[in-house]
Amino acid sequence: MENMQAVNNFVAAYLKKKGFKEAEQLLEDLQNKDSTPIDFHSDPQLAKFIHHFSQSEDDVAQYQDGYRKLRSWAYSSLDLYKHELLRVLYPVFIHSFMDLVAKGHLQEARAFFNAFREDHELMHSRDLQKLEGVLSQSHLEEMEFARSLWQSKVNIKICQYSYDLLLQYLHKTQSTAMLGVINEHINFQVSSGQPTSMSDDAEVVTLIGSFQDAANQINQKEIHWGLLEDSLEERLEKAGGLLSDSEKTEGENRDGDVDETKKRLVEGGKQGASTKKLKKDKAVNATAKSARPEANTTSAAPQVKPELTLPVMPTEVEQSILEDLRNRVQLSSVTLPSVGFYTLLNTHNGLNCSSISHDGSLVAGGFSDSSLKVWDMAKLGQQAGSSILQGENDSTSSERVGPNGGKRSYTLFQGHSGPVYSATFSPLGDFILSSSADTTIRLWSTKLNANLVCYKGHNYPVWDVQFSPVGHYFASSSHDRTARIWSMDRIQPLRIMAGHLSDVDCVQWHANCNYIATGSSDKTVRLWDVQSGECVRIFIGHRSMILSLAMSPDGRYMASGDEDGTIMMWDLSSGRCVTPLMGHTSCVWTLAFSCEGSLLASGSADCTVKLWDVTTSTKVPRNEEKSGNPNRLRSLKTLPTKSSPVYSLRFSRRNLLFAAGVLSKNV
Amino acid sequence: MLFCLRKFIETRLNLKIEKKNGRMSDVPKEAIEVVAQSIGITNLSPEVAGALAPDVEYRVREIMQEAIKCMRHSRRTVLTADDVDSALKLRNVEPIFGFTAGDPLRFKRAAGHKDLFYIDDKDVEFKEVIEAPLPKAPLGTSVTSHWLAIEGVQPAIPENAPVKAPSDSKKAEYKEDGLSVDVKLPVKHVLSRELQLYFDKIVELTVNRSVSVVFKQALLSLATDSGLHPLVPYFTYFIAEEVARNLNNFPLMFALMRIAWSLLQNEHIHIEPYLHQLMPSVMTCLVAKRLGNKFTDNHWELRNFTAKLVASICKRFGHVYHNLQPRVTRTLLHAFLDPTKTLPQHYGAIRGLAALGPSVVRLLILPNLEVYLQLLEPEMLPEKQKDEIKRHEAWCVYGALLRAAGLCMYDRLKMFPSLLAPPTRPVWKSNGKVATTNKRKASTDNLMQQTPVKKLATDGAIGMMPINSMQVDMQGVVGGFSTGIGGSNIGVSSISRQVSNNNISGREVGGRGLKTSTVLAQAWKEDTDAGNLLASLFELFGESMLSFTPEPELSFFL
Repeated sequence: MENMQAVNNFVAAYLKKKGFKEAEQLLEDLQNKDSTPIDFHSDPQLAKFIHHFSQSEDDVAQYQDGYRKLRSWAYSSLDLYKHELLRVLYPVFIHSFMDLVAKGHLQEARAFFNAFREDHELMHSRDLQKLEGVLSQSHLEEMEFARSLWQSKVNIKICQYSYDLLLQYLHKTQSTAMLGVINEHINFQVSSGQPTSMSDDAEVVTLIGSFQDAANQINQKEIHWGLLEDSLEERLEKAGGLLSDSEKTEGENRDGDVDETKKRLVEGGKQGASTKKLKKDKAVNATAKSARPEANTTSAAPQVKPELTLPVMPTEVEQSILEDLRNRVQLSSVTLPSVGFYTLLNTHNGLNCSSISHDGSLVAGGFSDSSLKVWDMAKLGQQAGSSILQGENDSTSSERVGPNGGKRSYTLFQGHSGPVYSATFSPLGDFILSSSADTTIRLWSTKLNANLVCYKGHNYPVWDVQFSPVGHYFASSSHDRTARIWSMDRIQPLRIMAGHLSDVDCVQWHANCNYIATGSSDKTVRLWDVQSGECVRIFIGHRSMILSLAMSPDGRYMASGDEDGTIMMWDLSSGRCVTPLMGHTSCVWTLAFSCEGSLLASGSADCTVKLWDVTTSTKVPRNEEKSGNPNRLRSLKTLPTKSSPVYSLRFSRRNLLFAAGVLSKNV
Repeated sequence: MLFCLRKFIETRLNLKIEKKNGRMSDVPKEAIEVVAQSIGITNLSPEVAGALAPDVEYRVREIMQEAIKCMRHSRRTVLTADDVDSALKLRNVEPIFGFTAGDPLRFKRAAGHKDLFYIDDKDVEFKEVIEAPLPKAPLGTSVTSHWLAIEGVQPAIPENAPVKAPSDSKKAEYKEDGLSVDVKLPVKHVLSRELQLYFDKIVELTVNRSVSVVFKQALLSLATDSGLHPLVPYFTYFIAEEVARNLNNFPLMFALMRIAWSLLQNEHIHIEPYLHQLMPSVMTCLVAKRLGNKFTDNHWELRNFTAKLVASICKRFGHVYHNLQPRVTRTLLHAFLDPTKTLPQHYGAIRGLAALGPSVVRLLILPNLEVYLQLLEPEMLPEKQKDEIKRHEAWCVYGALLRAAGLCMYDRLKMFPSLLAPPTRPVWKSNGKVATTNKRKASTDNLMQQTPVKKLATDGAIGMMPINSMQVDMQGVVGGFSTGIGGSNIGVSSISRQVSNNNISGREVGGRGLKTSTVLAQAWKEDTDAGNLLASLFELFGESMLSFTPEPELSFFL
């Protein structure tokens, strides 16, 4: 009866507190009348529950206790199901914390957070660092990360038995706080059968709120990752037979009239098939020069039409590119590339970025003093007698004679009013784009040594800018959480890609120019359709900020490198991670695929260039991929530099690898 | 607010990104109060301070988050004041002025406080700064280029990081392999106490008591005991070391060779991987210039023994290491053909080659025999070589040659007894007779006569004596001999030989020389001219050859 009285009191207090005046009045009336007891007393279960609830209501320690018990229970559970149950802990932990903060128990929240953060440090340290700062309800509202967590449910895949175990435990212990948190914030996807494997929890790592479902939906969209029709490479293959044929018969004619060669190239396209057939019949080694083992695979790949109007390439340039392609070294896991390393000296910690032109002859460096400097490596050797160089001074931007009369070995481009964060060469090397903290992107001409255009559009520092593989178009990414597509001839952006939840840190074009990929501080990589501006893929799996991206030349794969040194290979069509490449111990600043896509080079702050074999993964059949041997991609070679973090990498068209880094004292 | 924020940033710049700060750092209320007082707000209520404190911390964290982004985009891993400035700019906050150092700041720990840091900022006299001479202009930014790798291999140039220790690279290789997950750690070689004792004992015996009976027992044990395998690397190392150091200690050398012999005999030992270490020592004992320092040291015996050892090694491991025997023979042949080497070295080389089998002798020694004997001849004669020891050495070499050639011939005859067909019989009978009567004289005569011609033919070949030219020469000689067979007379043979030699220098050199050489090459190959061989050997050695001729065959001649 005492118990009953307590329950009555509690119910009354509850109703009062919640402002249910009428109900309170009614209850009072009922009690005053002292008529038949209210029916909830007749149900012992309900009474018990309410009693329990009365305790939990104001007892904040409930969270801590409940969590501690849940934790110790999960840790002592059966090995087979342990990892699944442990996965539940993290969302429960952060939501308990946020619940406590939301209810205003700041001290307790803090104590709770400190007590258990160790558990999650390994997997979620960066999230925890952010959450650590949440110290009042208003912060929950203000902080995007916390808000998205707060408003969304976490999906956890769990097997039937683990789920039963968990429910059983929660009922038995009556830890209502935990039950509440779990009901409110966790969405269990119960699957029958065996528990999932340990390594499969990549999706659980990134708890970025609501778009877990959305991401899955987005990733269903179709992607045409095939290469462009009539690409140069393809033309080379077709022309290969013809050229080598003509070399035999009319060897000298190659240097002849450009138009004629062009015509021949076109004809080559048509005649390609027939000449090849002839070749086979003859069985001569005429195709030796263009004998390319992967030729068949590239032609077998689906091809797409460009969605952008592509710029027309001057024929003489096309010729030189074709010449490069013909002379390309075939790289594989046994034939590693030669690596030329450009070391920048005396930068006084001021170098923010570097970039190497496609032929490796120009190196650009963006500095924190707003300057952009370009070195012509071809002229570097002949500096002594470089009086000629001074002839091409430009009054506005480039002065080769410094204030103290000494000669400069570089061309100085001045115009930005903030640190230069990124620079990119056009494919032909005649233009440079640079992006800066002053929110602008500037176009420079290496021929005129002058600034041509200033593109204003971003509202915050522009972290990255990249020319498209065909030139003319370029993409930029910024602190304002957008990526934008521009063309050289317009000062307004053509497309704005919005959707990332944090800064867009890096951007990269797909080989067929129809997509761009962006990496962000929200730890996701997104793929956007250039034409529609829609997000077509979200790649979730990184555990820290994405710093670098690279697209494989065949268009099927993408590599992304993050702050922790992890590189992930993604299959664009499925949106899944092929395999993470572990090895770097610090930020991966740059990634580059070799021209035929068999090798991936990565440059890192740990002063190494690593070469990875990626052919193994791209050639295996699909079913094998799913069986998931995570060690298939392998590190081939680690090339340590002499205390020079590697800032940029570039495979030239002939497959020579160029790397640039700065000699630094404190690494 | 702004000011206090700045204060905190100043004091909390030490927030290293990598550093995991397990404890949640809180901004105490007192700090807010202190800052408030410092900017002239004296009546700040504790509630306000308490409410401000968490917000200050939140703002600081926000700024740091942005600063870290700026740091990353500046491609750095160390946070600088510039990054914080940029972050403040991003948040539209007035940046802190006064920090311009491009280098990372040096923080000092405040005495008595666990995590209070400050920058050691000295007061500078304005006048001093103005009057100070201008500092040197910093070096301009420049670019150098070098090859980080050439086709995947890092060249060892100063621009590249020094190559790491081999153990490291081994590990890296493993990692590069990637497929095998387990990393092999360097295996620690643990020797049992018993084996160590055994080894020490053997070493002691070898060094000190190599003539005792106990040593013989030890050798027997080495040759038969199982379970000695762990000691093999130590023994080979021991042998190699001692041979290198104690070439003049004859008994020790011999003892070491005996140990090597015993080890090779042991069936339970897998000695192959250590052969590369063992072989140089063994070869040294065979063809060393000097072995032992006393005249009484019977180094001939050691060389004989070692020759046997080499032969057994070649026989046993020749099929595993295809280049083993060629290398050994090449070494020996060089020693044999180099006239600058001493006679004991020649002796060793001859014994070594002879031990490798009759075919080696036939292919490598016999073609050079003639010329070699020419050189040896003066050494053997008392009137030409006064030095007793030298003469003795020469005779030893002669004996070795005789033995090698004789055994080779014996082998021939044994294999082709039927080839000693009747047609050759009378010829050789008479020849034998002649040879027995005036063998030495004849041969020396021949040599004397031939010398000028020879000089002509082998012009320039004395130094190295290329085998090819020698072979042609010898074939010419033998060819001349065989043409002179009909004459059945030593004189004829010598004349015909001269004729042939003259022919070589004459106009028929192309046709005849070629013809005879091809014909004879075939003949050599097909082993059909055992008779010729015997003849030439008789020519060179005389009757002492007969002792090598098997009894039944001998009867042909006598």
